Amino acid sequence: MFCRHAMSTDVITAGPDQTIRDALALLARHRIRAVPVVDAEGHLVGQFGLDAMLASLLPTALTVDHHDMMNVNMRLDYLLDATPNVAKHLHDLLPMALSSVMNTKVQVVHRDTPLWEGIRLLVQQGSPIPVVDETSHALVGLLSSQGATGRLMELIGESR
Amino acid sequence: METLVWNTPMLVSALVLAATFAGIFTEGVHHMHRTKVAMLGAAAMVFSGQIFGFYGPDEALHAIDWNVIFLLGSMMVIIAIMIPTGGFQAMAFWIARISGGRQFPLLVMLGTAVTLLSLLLDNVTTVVIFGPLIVLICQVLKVSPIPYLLAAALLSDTGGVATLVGDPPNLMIGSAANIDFNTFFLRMGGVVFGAWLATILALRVLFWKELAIKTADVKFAEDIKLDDPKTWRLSLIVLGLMVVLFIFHRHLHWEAWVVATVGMVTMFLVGRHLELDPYLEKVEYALLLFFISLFVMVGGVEHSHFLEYIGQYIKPFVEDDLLVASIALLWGSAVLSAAIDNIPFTAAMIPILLSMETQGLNVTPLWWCLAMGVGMGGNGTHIGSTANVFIVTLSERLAQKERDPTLAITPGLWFRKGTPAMLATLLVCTVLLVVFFDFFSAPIHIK
Repeated sequence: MFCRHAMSTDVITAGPDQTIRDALALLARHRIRAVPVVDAEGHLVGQFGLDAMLASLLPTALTVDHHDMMNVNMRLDYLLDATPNVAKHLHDLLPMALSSVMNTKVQVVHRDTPLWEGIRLLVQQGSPIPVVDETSHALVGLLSSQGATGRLMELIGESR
Repeated sequence: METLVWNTPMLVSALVLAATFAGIFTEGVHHMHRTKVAMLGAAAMVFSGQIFGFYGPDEALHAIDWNVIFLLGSMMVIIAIMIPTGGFQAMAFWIARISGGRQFPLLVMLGTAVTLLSLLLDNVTTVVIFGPLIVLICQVLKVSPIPYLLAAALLSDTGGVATLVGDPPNLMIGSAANIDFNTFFLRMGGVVFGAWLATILALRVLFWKELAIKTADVKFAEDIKLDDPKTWRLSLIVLGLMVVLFIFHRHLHWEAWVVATVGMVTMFLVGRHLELDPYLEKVEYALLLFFISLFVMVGGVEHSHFLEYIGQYIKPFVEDDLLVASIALLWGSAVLSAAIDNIPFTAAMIPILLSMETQGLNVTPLWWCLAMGVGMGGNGTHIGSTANVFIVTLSERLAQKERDPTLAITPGLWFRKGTPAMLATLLVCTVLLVVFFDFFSAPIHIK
């Protein structure tokens, strides 16, 4: 059983020049949490998701320091009434191009990656995981938690 | 006292020392970690010592100042226990709240907190705790974090000079010259107070425009529960106990490391919920290994009598005019510490001063000048101390993330704002040294 048996090939994608506003509308329309970003030739160049977008709204102080000795565990409940400012920050982000905020270090799998390994990556890296062609790096599908679970259910005869 | 004659062991040990120091100080060029260079140097010293008969593994083991290693290691563990409790963050936000949006009081209070913490904690630890908190507070107050980050870097180095345990060079000096906690604080406390004042005033003048800006109106929560109030209270009690033990350590016949280790062990025994591994993992073994390697290496140079040989050329100057020699050492070590790592420099200076002491010279003011020079001199450049490097790196990452190059502390900015502040502190030190020279040259040990 390989990832190609569980991936969905009907993938919604975004382009690197699209704005965050457009991408958010796309996510809302299709009720999805993340979208692969592909260039004109269909090559995967990044991924844009709601979680990463929200992470970019956190103060940089929380993410700037990766000194491993100190995880300062900074909390934000010391600040009252900060939410309107956060919303304003989002407002500033909306017209920006996806290429400037998308995650470019995306974990990918190939069609021939065993599904068991694909499930490990889903658990550790989060869903969805783009499936790309091993040689051309073109996006061929998307492995999601739902897809993997559905495939496993089929295997034990419990398909929907 | 017979005159030492130049010989082969001296030459060999001097070459190993020079090559290793050159390697350590050019880390930025060859990108080999300074600890690796020091380990290589230590190995070369032990093996060449065996070949030329001036040093060997047994002597190397004795050359290591375990007082320094155990004190640093224990303090690292104590801090690793304290940070996740959230106590430091509560402290920083309390300061931000009571400063009421006025920048200078905020700078003074944050700076003072950093100075006071540096009295007990290693300088780097202090800025690692406060650096990110300063950035967060300044971001929400919508003011430039640069004056505050610079203050944290400068004052952590300055505060560290005041106590035996505030900065690794002090501990090396105290351990070698047998100076206890109280004596150290009594002689250095006043100087550091003067330097603290000079730094704050210098920053006020240098950042006149930036500090005049009113901060954004931010509401801070008044009553927040810490993540782990129980452990935070325990660690404050243990730290208080440690201060008391430091004050009496001479009477207890305990070296400083015993106090720190007792503190650490108490923390783990009383804090029964504290697991060992998560905190022991936070010990910076690379730094401890760096110290061990330096001690092994400098031990070889001591055994070859090379540093004594150098010492006999310095001796006449010290005999001639102790005050001038002291001022020269203060400024010389400050300039060198601004350019290079102050720990290897201190390690090499100690045997020279010790050899002069055994020849009957009063080197007391020289110990203090070495401590002041290496402690405050590091503030002269953006790479002069590890605390500075941390703060500069933090500001660079912030500038990169915020896409705002003005947030980065560049070498030029440091030269315009940090270096003048450092010169102000050194001037204060010099004036105090000249005015109270009898106080600084009074013998340390009451016989």
